[in-house]
Amino acid sequence: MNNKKSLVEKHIPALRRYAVALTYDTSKADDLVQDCLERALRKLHLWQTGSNLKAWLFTIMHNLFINTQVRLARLPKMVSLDAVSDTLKFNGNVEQGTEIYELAVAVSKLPIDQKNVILLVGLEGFGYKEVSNILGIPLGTVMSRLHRAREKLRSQLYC
Amino acid sequence: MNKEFQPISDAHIHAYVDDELNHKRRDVVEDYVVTLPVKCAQVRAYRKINELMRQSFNMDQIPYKHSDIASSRSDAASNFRLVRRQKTVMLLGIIIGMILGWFLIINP
Repeated sequence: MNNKKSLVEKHIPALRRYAVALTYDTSKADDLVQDCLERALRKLHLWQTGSNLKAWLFTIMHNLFINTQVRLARLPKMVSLDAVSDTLKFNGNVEQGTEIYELAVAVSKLPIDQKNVILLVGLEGFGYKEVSNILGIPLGTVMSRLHRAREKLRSQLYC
Repeated sequence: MNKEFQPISDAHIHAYVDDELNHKRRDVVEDYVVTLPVKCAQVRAYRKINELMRQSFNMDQIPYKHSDIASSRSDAASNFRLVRRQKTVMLLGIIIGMILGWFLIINP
């Protein structure tokens, strides 16, 4: 059991990164990660050794996020620029910082269904099939949402 | 069919960027992409978006560990027990006070 817990622990930075990218609020993100870990530790006996633990954890987090959104009965439509900038990490390069900032603003404006897909693929590096399992949507839907999301970002950043 | 003329869709371009293709199909898409500047720019943009996303949400610090979760849970539990104990003591105090008051009233 402790071995499984240490495996879970390894994925905390990735979970937090995804939570921050979803919520654009570090305190909300930490709450989401906390809820996800508590749920995961309670249900750890359901995870089968050898299966993809990271995908399982992300599935839990996605479901918790959706539940929260449903409970609040509203989706994050607009995010303040201050909130976006607080969650970003700059390395001192102003030009790159500007690019990162613009990308974060553009990502924040994506519809939540497209944002989920592009974050899981582009940020977390999940395969299309894994994303399909995490989000509970068909593979074709993953690919079409990914295309729409990337084209929106490309048109805002490079056109 | 000549591999140059095999249809390449946007889905293939995305799969190429995300390394989702097998070697054979990857070579075909690569040949297609390098011959078309528009597609080449598209691939570059998608890769740049991935790279920027990884940089922008790079979280170095681990916010907490399992021990913290366990301790926060036990803290919450002990707080709950403390509040319950305080309430019980208060309730007992009120009951004893009422009984004493009643005795004092009937036996002045």
